[in-house]
Amino acid sequence: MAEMAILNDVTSCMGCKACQTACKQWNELPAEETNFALTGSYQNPAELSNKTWNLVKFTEWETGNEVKWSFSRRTCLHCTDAACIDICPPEAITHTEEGFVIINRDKCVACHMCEEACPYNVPQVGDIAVKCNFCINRIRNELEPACVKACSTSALLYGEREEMLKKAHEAADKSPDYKVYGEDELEGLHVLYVLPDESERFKLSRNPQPGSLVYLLKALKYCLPGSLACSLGARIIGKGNNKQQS
Amino acid sequence: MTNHWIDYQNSDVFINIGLNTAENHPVSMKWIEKAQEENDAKLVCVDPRYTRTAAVSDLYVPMRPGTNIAFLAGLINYVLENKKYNEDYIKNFTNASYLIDPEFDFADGMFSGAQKVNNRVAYDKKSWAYQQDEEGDILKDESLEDPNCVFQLMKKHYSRYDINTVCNITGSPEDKYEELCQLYAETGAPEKAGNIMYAMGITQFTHGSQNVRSIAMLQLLLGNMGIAGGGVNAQRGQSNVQGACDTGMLFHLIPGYMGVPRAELHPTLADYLDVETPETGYWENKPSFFVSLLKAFYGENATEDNDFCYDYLPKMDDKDRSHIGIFNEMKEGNIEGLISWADNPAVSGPSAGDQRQDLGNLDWLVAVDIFETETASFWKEPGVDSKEIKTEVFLLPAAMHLERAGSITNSGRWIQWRHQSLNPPEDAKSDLWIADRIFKAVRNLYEEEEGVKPEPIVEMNWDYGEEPDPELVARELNGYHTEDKKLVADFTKLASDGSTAAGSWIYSGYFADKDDPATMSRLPEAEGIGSHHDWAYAWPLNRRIIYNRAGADAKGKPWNKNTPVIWWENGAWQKNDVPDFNASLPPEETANAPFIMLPEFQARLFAPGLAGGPFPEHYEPWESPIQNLISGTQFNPAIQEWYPEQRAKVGSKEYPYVATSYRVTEHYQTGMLTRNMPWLNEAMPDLFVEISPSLARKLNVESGEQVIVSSPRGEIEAAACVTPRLKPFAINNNDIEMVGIVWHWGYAGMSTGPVANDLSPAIGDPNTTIPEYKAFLCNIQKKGESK
Repeated sequence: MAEMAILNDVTSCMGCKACQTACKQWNELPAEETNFALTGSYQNPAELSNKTWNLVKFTEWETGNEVKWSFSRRTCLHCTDAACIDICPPEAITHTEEGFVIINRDKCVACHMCEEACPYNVPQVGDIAVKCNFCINRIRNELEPACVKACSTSALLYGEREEMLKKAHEAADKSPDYKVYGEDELEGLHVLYVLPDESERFKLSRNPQPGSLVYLLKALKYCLPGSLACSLGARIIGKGNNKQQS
Repeated sequence: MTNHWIDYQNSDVFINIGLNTAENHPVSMKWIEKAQEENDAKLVCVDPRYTRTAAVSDLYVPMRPGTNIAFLAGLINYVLENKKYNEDYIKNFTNASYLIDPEFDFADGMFSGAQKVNNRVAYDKKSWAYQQDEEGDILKDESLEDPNCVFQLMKKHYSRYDINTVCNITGSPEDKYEELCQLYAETGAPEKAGNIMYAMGITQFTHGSQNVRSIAMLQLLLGNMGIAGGGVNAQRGQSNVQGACDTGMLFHLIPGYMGVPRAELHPTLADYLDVETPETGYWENKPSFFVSLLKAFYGENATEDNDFCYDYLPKMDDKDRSHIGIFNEMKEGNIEGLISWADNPAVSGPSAGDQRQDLGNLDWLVAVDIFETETASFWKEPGVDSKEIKTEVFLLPAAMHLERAGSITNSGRWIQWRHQSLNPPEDAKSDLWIADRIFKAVRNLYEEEEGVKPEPIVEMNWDYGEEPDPELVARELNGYHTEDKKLVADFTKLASDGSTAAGSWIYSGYFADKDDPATMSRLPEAEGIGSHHDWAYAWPLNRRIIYNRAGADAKGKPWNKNTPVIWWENGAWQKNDVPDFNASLPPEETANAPFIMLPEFQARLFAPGLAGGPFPEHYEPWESPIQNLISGTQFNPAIQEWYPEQRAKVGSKEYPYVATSYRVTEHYQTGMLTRNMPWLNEAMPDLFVEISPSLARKLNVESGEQVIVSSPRGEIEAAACVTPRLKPFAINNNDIEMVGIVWHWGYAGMSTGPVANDLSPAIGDPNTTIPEYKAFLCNIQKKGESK
């Protein structure tokens, strides 16, 4: 089947956070305590967490006399070369045929290794590792992802990846400042962006690197039995293995 | 709106002014974006701050709060000076050629006829009249050259508003302002459509009505009225504000935009009809609409012999009965009880702290809402000793919109029925149920105990069933023939002889077929200009773009052939909408009469109706950091000042900053719905104030730190948001800083915070009394530091 993708056209996003709330609603994620004094910004919560899988980031900058303010989604980018899949000892993380990266809740042992491996610091580990699952339960029922459904402009689109890439380039052609992100990064992401400025401004590296411990952890995975790799890995990262402890 | 949401897809240039459309009407961006994509349309955001709308706009032009008239006057002047207006349009469709009394004059911010009455200016409008010949016909100069014609008077008045003068007042960068002028003036080309969208940042001023007038005048000059993609488009701040206004929820109007009967002016029905009915224009049918309303109210008890029970209608006295006026009376102890229905003045009222005290002068207060509001709980506000408050408070839990059936009328006048989708929790009841039970209980009391004046209640026509049925209310609003109760097809069937009844004449037609009412219809159009006539029903007469005769030239040729509304072709009118004129007549007979609601049938560039003058003139807000730069008249001379002692002086050192107030996407109005939603509290947890980096440096404040904002009315504490999206305004070589205040919070609900309206002044527009929430003076300091 064709690879699928979400296109986040940041140049048409108005930062309404409907996608952020829709994600919570569909996935039944509770609200977290936030505080304006902590962020001093419209961006709330400040970061992803195990209760927040999709966050609208508010980025503000100046060029000459002009102010710019952009809103981009921070969520799992569903990489083709997905470090989390490679590293996961119990092989709880897999690709779907659409190219989505999905965590199997029953297999995850909360070893934190995916958290360490992810170049974008996306997975959030509590009782288990969680992140955007591409609303796979909607997709398999021929519905678009909740975030896309909630978007009232074309800032979020869902469709075949080739088609989304085409649209991304059409949108990016409108200004020399606009950039496409996700076409080739990590052999291709399944969340594509049209960005109004260099990707680094949005904390999206052109050369995304997994965490520094990833090679060591990978060695553990291939040298040791799964459960041992997990507990040793968690210890190396410096975090408890929550699931085993509980 | 004269146009509607989906029609935004037909615009070429949008001006978002006094509005933050992406923030407060996010779905509007769907249609604006479509126009940007498909027509290469441009969105201009005019705002004191760089907003979420600015972020998706093609051009951002900053403007100091409270200077909209100067800003729009500069645009009008640009269009006049550069001859960008649509000359055929203004000659045929407006009063540009009308001659005004030679005595009409304007000097130093005042129009001729100014008279001081009770410390304010009330104009004697004699010199504002049209010149007439002996037959009573208006004198005109079709060449538009007579110095007394409206066009020349307008040119003279607006010539004072050159770009330099305007930008000195508004603080807008001249290059950006000029870019806007050039861009928008191009919509004067016949095939181009300019759309001005606005909201409370236009209306909530001591000159709010004249702000709206300025928009209308600019749109007329450019020929942007009556066309697809044009219009004066008020985006309503609540989903059914339009419906509430349509059905009479305003102190000075009754249903269908008829004036409220006044004791002095209209003691009898004959007086009302005589004074209120113009001799020409569509309002000449007012007797049919008004008598039908009385028949809806009083049914069979209303007969020609008893003036259709006109005497039963309450008449307005000479006191101010606006929101501010009601609280003034409450302060004096002249009001015993208040029903505060889906309203939360303890948070939303101007000088809200004072108004909460006024609530304590009531004997009883009934609050009807989904949650316990600040108004319902004013007696337990932190710091208030409830033992000192004698008011008895009742809280009636209401069903929310999904828990009851009924119609919602959107900003584009589309009356859309909503079916009930779930039952309300526990004791919560629909508003209709609550109104019905209160009415029946009061009627029972009158029947059992008589009382002083029982007839207006006991004789009222009130029968919506034991459990009230909203469809029966809808049928009454739609109107019916009194003889057989058959629903009227539309308001052209209403009569003044008592043979028809209608609860709001403009709604006639929306429920004409009780088995398949238009308001419930949901069929999108297959092709066309986006009118979607089978999707709900738009008042009046299912017309989607009003004044649409002006969408074609005198000969009936559409200004824009790609999006024609009504046009003459092959000897007949072709239609993409319901004609707003007599379409049985050919173009030449309707060419000079597109504005059928006016007695002169032509739109008023010069309008003697408003309190403040026939042309909008810039005045500073009631509180301002500077002297008015364009005249010696500081603020709107027609306003009533109730609390002059609460006014910060011009250029006050104590309150040196301009304050403005606004909403955010994440919350809604006084927050009652949204501050009880954890996900929304998470997304926007607290009240905050926005300041520029330069003001922050001066105050030694960083983002997130607590500040105290104060005005002569009160003070609040809030977190600061320091952002380059705010910049000081360069006014007359001085930098004027602004404090932007989000106002959704109060002391009730899950997320609590200070009431921002404790700062705003109780002062209003002379025509509407809408309070000046959008521009006043304040001070700001870091918490813990002295002034």
